Amino acid sequence: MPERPLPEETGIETLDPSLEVVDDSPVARRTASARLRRKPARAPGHWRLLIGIAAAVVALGLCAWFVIERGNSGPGAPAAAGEAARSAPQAEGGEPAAPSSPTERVAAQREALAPGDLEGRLTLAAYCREHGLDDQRRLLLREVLLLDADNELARQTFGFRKYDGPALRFQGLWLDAEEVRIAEAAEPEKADEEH
Amino acid sequence: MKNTDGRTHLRSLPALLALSLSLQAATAFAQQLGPPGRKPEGGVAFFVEIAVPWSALELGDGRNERFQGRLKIWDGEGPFHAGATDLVLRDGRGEAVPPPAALSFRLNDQGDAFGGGESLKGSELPRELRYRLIATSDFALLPLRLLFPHEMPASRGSTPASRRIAREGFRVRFEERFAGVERISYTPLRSHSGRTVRTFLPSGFELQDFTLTYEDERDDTVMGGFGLRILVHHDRPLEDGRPAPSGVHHLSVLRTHQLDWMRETTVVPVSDWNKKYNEWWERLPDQLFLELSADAAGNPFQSPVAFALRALRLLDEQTLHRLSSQADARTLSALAPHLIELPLSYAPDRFLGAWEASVDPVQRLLLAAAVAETGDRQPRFGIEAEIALHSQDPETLRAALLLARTLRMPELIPALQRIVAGGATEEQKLLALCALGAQPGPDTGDAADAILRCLEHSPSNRLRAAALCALADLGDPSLEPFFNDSQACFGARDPISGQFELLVEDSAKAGELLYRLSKLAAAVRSGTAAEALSAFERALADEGAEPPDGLAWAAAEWSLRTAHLTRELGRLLDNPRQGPLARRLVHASGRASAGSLLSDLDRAQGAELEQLAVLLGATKDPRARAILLALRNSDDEDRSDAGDAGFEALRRED
Repeated sequence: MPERPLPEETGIETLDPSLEVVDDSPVARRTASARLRRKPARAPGHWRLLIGIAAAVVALGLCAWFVIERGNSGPGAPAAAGEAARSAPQAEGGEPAAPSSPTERVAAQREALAPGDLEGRLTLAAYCREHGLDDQRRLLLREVLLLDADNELARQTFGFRKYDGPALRFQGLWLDAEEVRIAEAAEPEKADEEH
Repeated sequence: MKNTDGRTHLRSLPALLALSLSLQAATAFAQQLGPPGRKPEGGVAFFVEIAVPWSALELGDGRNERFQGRLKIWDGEGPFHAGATDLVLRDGRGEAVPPPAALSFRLNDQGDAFGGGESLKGSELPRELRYRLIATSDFALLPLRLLFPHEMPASRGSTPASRRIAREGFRVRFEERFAGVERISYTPLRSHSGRTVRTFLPSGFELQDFTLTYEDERDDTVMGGFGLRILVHHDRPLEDGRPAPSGVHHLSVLRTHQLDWMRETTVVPVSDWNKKYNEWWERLPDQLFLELSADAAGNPFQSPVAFALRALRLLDEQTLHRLSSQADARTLSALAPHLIELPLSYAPDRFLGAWEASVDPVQRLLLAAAVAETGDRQPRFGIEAEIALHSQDPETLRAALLLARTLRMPELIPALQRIVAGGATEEQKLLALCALGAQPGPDTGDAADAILRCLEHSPSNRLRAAALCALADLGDPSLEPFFNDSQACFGARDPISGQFELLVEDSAKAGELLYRLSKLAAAVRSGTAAEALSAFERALADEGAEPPDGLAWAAAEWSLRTAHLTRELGRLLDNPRQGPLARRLVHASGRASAGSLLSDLDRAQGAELEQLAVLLGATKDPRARAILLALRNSDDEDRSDAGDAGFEALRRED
């Protein structure tokens, strides 16, 4: 069995403490005990932890980015998804600055949507819902209503109700809660009662 | 509010209604019904004055006419004929006005006077049905039967009419009839005030009356009253799927009061009655404004009350400011399409606050338009306008086009171009052309190209007129060949209805008007204040003429866009010759200039302070009053003098 180089010799610190006791030679034990004595000063475990966290954050970020990209390029994705990526905020020096949070990414995607892109807004609104970005979702659904005033999802989100009662003037209109009360008061039976 | 698709179907309706409003009272005597009202003291007659009838349907038809009819009695037995039983319509000078020869509508099987699934244009209404129709109308306006005795022997009286009636030995009787009216609702508003809505079915027309009645304190009988009548059709498609003739079709103000036949005088002295009328007129904006929120529910464009406020010029700066302090987003959005076309100063903050809170797309676009018209053209408005210009919903698109017109952003030109060239309706294309014509200079080439492409596609004359006027508004040189073009025509936006009207089809005259409009536009866009004033003087020379001078209408619209000339115009405010026009321009564009005047006022001193204070007062902006009051109360003599001068300008009435 070839002699395993010591961490100090290779210059690489392992994150697995068990490796330190594999070699039971006196030199190894001496070196290991020396390392254990030096640990409080160098705190290699702390660095390992930080590097691990950093790696995990990067991995999560990449995953999130991948999910958004995949969502936009799938069936029914906004046509401007590619444009969104290309027109993401630019860092100094012309390098694309990847949005650092879901909020920023949604904002960048929203800005890049074509004015008439209804599906893109609905897709992005669905993403916002999944990620609890309620303000952005409402913003997007407001824009959905500008494009499609009859959109049921958006109307219901904002508390509108499609009136199908007997008051002719309001039939087929989306009404908010107060308008529903006005329409109901104008219904023939109720109006006659008041009269 | 506009009528769009029912333009040709109801052409004689306003005149008919003007007539019917008076005839109704006559037919009220037709047959006996109802409890007795005021006990007769020799007999009463009924006086109806119909003022300011208006219609979106036919220009000049009823505009500014004042009919007054002294109703005489018809016994209901024989035919309704000329003579003692006839109605005399008189114009403002007392000249008799012949009633319309043909009444172009008929009752359908259900008795709906305005027709149902069939064409609204029909043969002359049979006489007996006409009486039925007329009889449907006025009992909701006022409880007329209370005005008259149950049964009255007309054996006395001194006028020829009374003597003739006496000879014929008739008796007065009453009947309430509601032929064709599916339902009537009455909403009490305040003491003795109410709103009556009568719905005709299946056509969907509504007759709405805002009334105020006065009663005799001795026995609570009605002495008379005043009413605002609106005939409206809401945007509900007809049964066969055709678009509704939506919009306000008729607007009139009525005054009614008793006459004592024995004494040949009014029961209430005329001076007292006029005083009561003035009081009602002053309270009418409040009454209407309170109804606006419910009136605009579901669709801010469909508010007859907002239309009435505009058409009757019931709003001024202080009234608007006072009433809008408690107004909700729905109320403000219903007012917005009218405010942006009226020479009224208003503060944008309330509209902006409502915009922030609203989620309804049409409301948001209209509120943004009202804010943008004050000069606060925020990029986020542009984003919403650009999105909404792709909407398939007609109301959203209409609101977006209004916003685009007030924003004047070159970024919106491609979307406007697409609407003008695409399959949009004529009304949508008209609005898009207006928005293109409002683009600021100097680079207006793209807008002009879009307009020219619209002209190439052989549009209707109305659309052609709108396109040519938009080119003139732009001041684009491509307009020049059309000055002598055989297909030139001219139109303008009606300042009362807001609807673009084709006014001149004679190509020579249209070419001349286009030339003059382009000169006016050039003077306002790039000329000095003096040049602009001269151009306005020429354009407004025939203002108020009948038939309407379209150039004066266009000039009135241009007066809203002179904010950049305000400081220069300030030097001419007291000019004996040009002062009135300069003050009118400063007022008309005051909402867009008041903001900068207010901010500059803080830093100004001495003569500049006084000049700014006067300008601010001349804008009539509602924010000016408090600022000028603070200046006037200042210990500093200069500031106090500036406040006085500003207040004088604020109160000045031209």
